[in-house]
Amino acid sequence: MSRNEFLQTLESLLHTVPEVDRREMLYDYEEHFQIGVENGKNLKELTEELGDPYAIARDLLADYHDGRLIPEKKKRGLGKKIFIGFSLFLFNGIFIIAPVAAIFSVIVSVWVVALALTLSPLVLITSSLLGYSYESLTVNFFASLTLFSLGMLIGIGMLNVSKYFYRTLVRYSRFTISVVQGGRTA
Amino acid sequence: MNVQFKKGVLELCVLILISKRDQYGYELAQNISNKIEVAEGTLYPLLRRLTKEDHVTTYLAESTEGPPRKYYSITQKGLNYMNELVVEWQQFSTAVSQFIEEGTKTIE
Repeated sequence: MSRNEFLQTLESLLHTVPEVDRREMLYDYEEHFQIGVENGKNLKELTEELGDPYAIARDLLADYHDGRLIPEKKKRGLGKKIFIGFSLFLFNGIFIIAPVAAIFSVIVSVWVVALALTLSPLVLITSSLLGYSYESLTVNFFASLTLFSLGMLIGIGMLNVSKYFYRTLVRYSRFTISVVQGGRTA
Repeated sequence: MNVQFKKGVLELCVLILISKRDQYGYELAQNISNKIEVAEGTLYPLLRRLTKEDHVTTYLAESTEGPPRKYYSITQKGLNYMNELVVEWQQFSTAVSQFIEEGTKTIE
């Protein structure tokens, strides 16, 4: 294991510790490496002497979460939870649901349009081949080519829009849940 | 050697070394690993705990080369604690020595 691997492993194992304290914990090891090198040791040697980052992380975390440094998560009583839950339910019901539903139905309809455009060549070409069309085959061919490309383009655009919509929705629901439970976002 | 046991003894050794003079982490690690086989990385969690419990305080001091070094210095509370540990250790080691002495006698 190299110096960087050691520090990275340790850092990822300490991900539950807030940034400031984690930096402080890692600083000790950065300093250790620095001074070790100044004293003519190589990094591999130093890493071996430090030992297993998992064991170190276990020690650090055990002390950290045992002590006063633990960030106390505000625990809400059941009554308050129900009240906040109900208020959010009302708020969401009145102000959020309608716009979300509207946006959702717009997204769905544009998707349908995109799908229809993409599939329209099939209809145009078949109808033209079967002799149901007033236009010539060439006109139909170019028309369908245009419609098909348009459908694909809208589809690609919608992919991004839908993804963004979905992500926002997920983020909002997470926020709602954390508000009810009394997280840091509250 | 049993890990938990070693940890307890390590705490005592760290306190004694720091009580003689302020030291920075690397120095302390070298002084201990010269005599006891230990994963040096476990010293830092120990030092953090001792600091948190006010047995030890830290300060940064510039060094001639490289970044400033974090020095550890023992507090009055730490000294009292160290003395308690020393007494405990002496009782313990005397008892163990006696067991060993008696044990080896009967073998002879």
